[in-house]
Amino acid sequence: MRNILTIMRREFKAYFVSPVAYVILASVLFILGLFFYGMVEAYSRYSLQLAGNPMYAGQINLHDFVIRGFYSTFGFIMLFVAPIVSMRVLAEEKRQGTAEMLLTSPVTTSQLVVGKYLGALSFGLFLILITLQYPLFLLFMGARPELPALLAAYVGSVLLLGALLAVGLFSSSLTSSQIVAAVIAFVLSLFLWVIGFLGEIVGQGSEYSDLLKALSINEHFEEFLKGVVDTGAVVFFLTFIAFMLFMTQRVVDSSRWR
Amino acid sequence: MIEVDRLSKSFGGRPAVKDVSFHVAKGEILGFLGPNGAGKTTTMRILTCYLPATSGTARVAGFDVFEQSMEVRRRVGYLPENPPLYDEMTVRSYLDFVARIKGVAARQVKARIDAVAVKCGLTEVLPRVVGHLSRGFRQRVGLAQALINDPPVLILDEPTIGLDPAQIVEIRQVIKGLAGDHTVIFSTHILPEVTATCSHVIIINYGQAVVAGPLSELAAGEKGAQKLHLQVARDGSAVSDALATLSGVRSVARDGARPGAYRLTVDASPEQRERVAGLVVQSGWGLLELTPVTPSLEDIYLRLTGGAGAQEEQAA
Repeated sequence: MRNILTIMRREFKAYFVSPVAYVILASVLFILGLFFYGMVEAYSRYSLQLAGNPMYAGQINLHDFVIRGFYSTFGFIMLFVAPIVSMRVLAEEKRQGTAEMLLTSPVTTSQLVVGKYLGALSFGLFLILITLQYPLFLLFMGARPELPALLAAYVGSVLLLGALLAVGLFSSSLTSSQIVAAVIAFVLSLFLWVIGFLGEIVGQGSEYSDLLKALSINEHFEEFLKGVVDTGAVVFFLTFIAFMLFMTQRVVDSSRWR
Repeated sequence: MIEVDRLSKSFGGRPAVKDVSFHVAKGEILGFLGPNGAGKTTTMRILTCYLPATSGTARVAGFDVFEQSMEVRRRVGYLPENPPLYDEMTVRSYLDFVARIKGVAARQVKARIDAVAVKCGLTEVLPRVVGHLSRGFRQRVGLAQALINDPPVLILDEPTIGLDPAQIVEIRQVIKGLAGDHTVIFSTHILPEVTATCSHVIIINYGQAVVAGPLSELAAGEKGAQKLHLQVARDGSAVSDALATLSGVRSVARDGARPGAYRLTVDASPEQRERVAGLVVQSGWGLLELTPVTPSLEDIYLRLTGGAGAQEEQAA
């Protein structure tokens, strides 16, 4: 446990000594800010227009109009950001030779992998924590987002980012080049993302469609945005993360017996 | 302390280490010699549990490197060929991290960092960022990293590479200072370094241990024989003939192109040297010099690693 925490702490700190963390934070916040502004602006314009019309007034709500779209956008951006956040974790260790030190230290491969993952995840959580400013802004402006639904969106975002970072960690274990790691992570994540669309194309109701959709991280993520914390989706993400960590552990360990 | 028994390692069918056996007793410093690509690093990586052996066994401090890897890792300090440093960290935070993952108790971490910093001459660079340090300091941080948990066994892969002469002497002093309490293996291809630091030597070539033993035994060379360097004032064709027929003289050869210089291989005894000197004086050749030649490690190394061609070139 102590080893895991030591590795995690070093990993987390390492983000903030390189410009990468700041570039990521700044660009994510810039893009999210634009979307947030656009959505809130559109929402207030519509509400104003529809205020006089009792027929539609009940149909427009803050969650569907702003929160859902906003966190959906957030998830989409994470598809690009997570590979960049996680590309360094193991690839760089191999490139600069520190892997040799870590793997000859009295630390098990599992501790190393979990520590590295938690390090990347804590940076992800930090990023998610910053996005809290948007719903807080809504609260301060007097709007009342539905808090349980908002919470569900956050649970979903954390799980989604956790899954994407696990894919990134796995990719990072495959190579000693950060760029290659990022590309592999992105391709894998994108595949898992669009596999749901493929399900739609294959045809509603067919078994393949259900299977493909069940594998899609996007489909599961959307559940949370509807305000539903589905146990199935939670289990899906947790199993997915555990599987990715297991695969990473095998890859790192294989460098010993190859 | 370290027992290596018929250790072999191949990478995809290409053997890197073949049947290497040696052992190092507690407190010894073993010099690990060999040309580049001879299998030094591979052997060290097996001993530090970084790579598994294809066959054979290695035990460090009584623990098998494969079966009881964690126990071995706790007891080995390893400095790889490229010091394993995080460029973005300060020296202090780096050593702090390594100390913790190597299991130094939290409240001893600071004391250990200060102790190794003094030992490796890092005290004034502790607050600096590793990436900004010179090659020499990086190497020392690497050494400090290996020493941080005060392991009984140290495995150092070319610890003095990239250092300036003054630093090399310092690092050698550090390594020598470790002998006794620590068992040290270090690899190098700088031969004087071995003569200066080690008590024992193993020479490895093409993955095979060519020779192993205490440095003093290796230096003796051919059993019961001794090499002499002879310089006479008045050279003549009679000299070498007369020397060759002297009893106890095994061979006579001219030593280089200088007139009157000879290299003799004789039975190793003081009387034999006396007989040679006597002959030279009686014959009136004018004895200028008669010195026993101890083969340098270079000679042994070149002879054993098949660098004989190189040796003759040097002699010529």
